[in-house]
Amino acid sequence: MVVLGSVIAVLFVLPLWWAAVSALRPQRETFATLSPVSLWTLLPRGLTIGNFDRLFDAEFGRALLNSTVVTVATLVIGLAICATAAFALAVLHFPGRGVVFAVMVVSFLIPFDAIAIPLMSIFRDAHLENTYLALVLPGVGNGFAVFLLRGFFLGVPVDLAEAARVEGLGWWGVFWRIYLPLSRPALIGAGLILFVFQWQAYLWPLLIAPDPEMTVAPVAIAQFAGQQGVDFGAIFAGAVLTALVPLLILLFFQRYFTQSVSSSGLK
Amino acid sequence: MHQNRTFALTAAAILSLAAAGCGDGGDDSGQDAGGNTTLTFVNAQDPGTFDKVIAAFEKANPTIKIKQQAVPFDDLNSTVQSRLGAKDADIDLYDVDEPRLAAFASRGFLEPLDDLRGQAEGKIDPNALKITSYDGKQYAMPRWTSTQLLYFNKDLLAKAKVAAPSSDPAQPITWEQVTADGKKAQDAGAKYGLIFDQVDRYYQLQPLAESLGGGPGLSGADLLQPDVTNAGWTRAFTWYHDIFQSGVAPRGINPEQTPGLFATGGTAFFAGGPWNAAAFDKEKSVDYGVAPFPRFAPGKPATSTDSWSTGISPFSDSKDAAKKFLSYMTIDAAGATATTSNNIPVQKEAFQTYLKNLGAKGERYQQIADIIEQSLGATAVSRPITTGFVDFESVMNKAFADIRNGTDATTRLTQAGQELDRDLAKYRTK
Repeated sequence: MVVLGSVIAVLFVLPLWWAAVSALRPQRETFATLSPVSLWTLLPRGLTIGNFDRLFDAEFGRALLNSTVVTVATLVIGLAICATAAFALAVLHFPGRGVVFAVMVVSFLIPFDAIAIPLMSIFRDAHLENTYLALVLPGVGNGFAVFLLRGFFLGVPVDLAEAARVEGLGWWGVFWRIYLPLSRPALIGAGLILFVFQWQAYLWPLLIAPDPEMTVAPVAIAQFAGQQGVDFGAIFAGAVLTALVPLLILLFFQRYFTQSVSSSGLK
Repeated sequence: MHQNRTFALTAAAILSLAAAGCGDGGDDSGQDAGGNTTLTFVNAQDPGTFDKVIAAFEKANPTIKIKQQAVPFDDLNSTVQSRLGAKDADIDLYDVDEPRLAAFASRGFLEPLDDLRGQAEGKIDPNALKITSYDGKQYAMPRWTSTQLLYFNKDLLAKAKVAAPSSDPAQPITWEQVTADGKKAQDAGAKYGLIFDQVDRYYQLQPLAESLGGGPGLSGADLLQPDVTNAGWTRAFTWYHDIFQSGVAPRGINPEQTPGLFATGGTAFFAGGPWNAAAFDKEKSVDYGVAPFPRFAPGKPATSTDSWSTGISPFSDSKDAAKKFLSYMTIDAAGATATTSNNIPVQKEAFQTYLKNLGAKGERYQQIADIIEQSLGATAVSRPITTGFVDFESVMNKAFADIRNGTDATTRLTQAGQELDRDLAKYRTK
């Protein structure tokens, strides 16, 4: 069983390894070793950083920085908005709570691509094109993150909130001092959802922020595929760099992420 | 991932059409307080392609600045369509893929440029002006054109004791000969006999059917009737099926990967564009020769053509300034020369300069220049100018892929004809 598991794990890693190796060798070698598959398909003969040179000559660094700024801003603002919304829907009793929650659930079932065009018109009317705000805003109100956090908050014993209220703590205090500290795994899970949404965003940045100064990493990588040739080396290099960030974050937080998904919805 | 992205953009573009209108949002008042105008030019060309022409234009016109917005190549059409569908006044000029011009013009996404046409006559190739016109109006200014030729690996052919094809532009080898020689080269050690640069794409495969008298695949006054099951099409794509079935050409290779397979030295023949030569030279691992694009033995020579043109958005606030730049970039000889990268300019003086510069790079490039001149003048076949081209191309590219993967050509072309009959019906009623 262990052997089988290990073999399957290695098979999953091989394409990623191949992409990483291809980022570090000349493009010609990548193609020359493709067929027949041999050890040299997976091991580089000549190492080069030329692919990374071309990548950064095309100002990929700025695109990566843009992606980072947009993602971090989305994480901070988005978590604040989603957590407060989830708290209201889980703990506070107000008329129409069920309807609001139902609308929110439906909202995350609608593909973003379907609303991108009308949303673009609204943003352009507000003169938000080519701004960080335009890139960040659609990511901060994430229905799935609210759904996840609400499920976790419902699992927090109501007695805790009631006791705190009796002691004179306001709702804001209950949220800040009781629910948030208890919900770290769920917050990390929701944060990862917001992170992935923004980190891989492609269609929206292409439509609303087409200026070169505002290009984000996925769009910058796609620009290496031209009409008269594709710079696979630079694409591999960009993909490796872009994948490294979420990879490290996932490795660090995977325990919390699994915990948050498995425990949300449990009472 | 890539297909999902393309699908998403296409879906978004279709949605945007519901909101599209033909109104003119521009009053040519797109100047800042200092009287300066900034034009936004959306394109999908390699970085640096327009740097020289923009610098020269800005020097001569200090009150006009050109800002480029580069869009990934595969997403240009759908992105532009989505943005113009939302009447995005931020786009002043944009690159138009010539076979898509009719669809863009019919939706009101292009400003008529009949005044520029008057200036262009006599200076730009009339065929290029014709294919950028629709319904009697000029909708974009042609910038470049293209053609196809046959590259061959000298070492692999010599090893197989196969005579190299002639580089004489008027003496193209036949596809039957290419197949037989490719097979011999494989027997002598070549990995592949023949590879098409743009495998499964209508642009490069249209000449196969045209060579056998099959036409472009569309007929009728508006080119909206499918005609892909005639004898020419059936024979051409039975041959296409057979080269993959017999292993002369490889399956499972994307167009993005094909030049790399010739450049690494394992392929006997490669059908591609003049632009591939620069990439092959860069790799330095293949000694290659060039020949005119093949024809079928019982048929006539036919070659792909056309390329990119530039149009002006009807929603632009700076149409006059945009026309000034467009005129300089396409009609003015100096501008058209400065714009050229690896592409062939259609401005007559720039074209001659291009051929001269190409020939000056050595004997092989002189042969390429001769082939370009001959094919553009005598054998070029444009893609059909019709509002239904995008649907047509999409259906046919899928059919080509199925035929490559083993589906019988006659059966698949019949199915494609039925699909086209349904898909093109919506354009016929307009």
